[in-house]
Amino acid sequence: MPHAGSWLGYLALGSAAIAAAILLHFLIMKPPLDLRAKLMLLLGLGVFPALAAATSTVAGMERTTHREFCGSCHVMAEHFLDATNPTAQSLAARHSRNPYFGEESCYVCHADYGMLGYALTKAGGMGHVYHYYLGGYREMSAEQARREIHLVKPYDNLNCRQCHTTTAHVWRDVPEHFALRQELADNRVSCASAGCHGFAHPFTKGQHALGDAEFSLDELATEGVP
Amino acid sequence: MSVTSSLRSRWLARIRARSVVSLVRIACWAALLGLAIICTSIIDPMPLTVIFAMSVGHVIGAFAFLCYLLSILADSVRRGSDLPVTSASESVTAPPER
Repeated sequence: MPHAGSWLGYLALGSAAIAAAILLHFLIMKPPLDLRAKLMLLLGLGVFPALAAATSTVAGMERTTHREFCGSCHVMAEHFLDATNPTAQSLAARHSRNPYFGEESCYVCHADYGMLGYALTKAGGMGHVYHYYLGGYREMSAEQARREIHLVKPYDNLNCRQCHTTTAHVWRDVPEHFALRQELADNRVSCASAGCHGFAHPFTKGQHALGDAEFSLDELATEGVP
Repeated sequence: MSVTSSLRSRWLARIRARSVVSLVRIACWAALLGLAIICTSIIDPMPLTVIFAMSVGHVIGAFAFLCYLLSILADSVRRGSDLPVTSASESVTAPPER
């Protein structure tokens, strides 16, 4: 089935089917290479394949933002299971249950948000593929991956601030936020640290690293997003 | 016209006539391969299939379209040389005759 119910996927498959029908007709029926055949071949070799390529590229790029795509590599299986666990209380799991993140919670939290953010994120993703297939990740056990695979650079608080603007009263009224505002802006203190909101993926840090921010879903619902 | 030049011109005409249809056929098979790769990436969107479709699939598709354009060009040149029009089936079974 085309992924994510994407109409682009269906469009790509439809275009490819029409192009294939034209090409197979030419290969099997062997019509004379007159103007009509050339125009049909232009559709079968140019127009419809180009449409299929363009739509499949957009659909493929969109697919790479989905949580299932990130979790399809076994070294990410634990992250995926934690994020999709309806009872888990980790930062990643709580955010993954947020309808505004949809099925793209990995991408929303880990994407770069600069001017070239999308391209840089995709380039980083290519790096992940390289490390998986040629850099030894593929042979790693889950335990080994948990110990040895880390973020390339410290997690940027800017990603949190894409949603949590840090300008609302509910954020400013927290004394720790006010005291650490410069450190948070400079990324010297992470929002997702043990003393603050807890690690996003605490199982990678061991049982001692759950932090003190284990609040309930009801609490989140009543406070909203500051 | 000598026998050698006559044979040479006949062989050239045969190669030209065949090359057009052969190029179109190569283009068709290549395009089918590229489309299959693209469809695989839609049906089974795993990292490798998606990357493979966006790179190799597109290259194969572009190669197929270039083959098609080249065949059109070759056909135009052949028609300019006043050679007979052939069909795909004719070109396989018998060489064109002047």
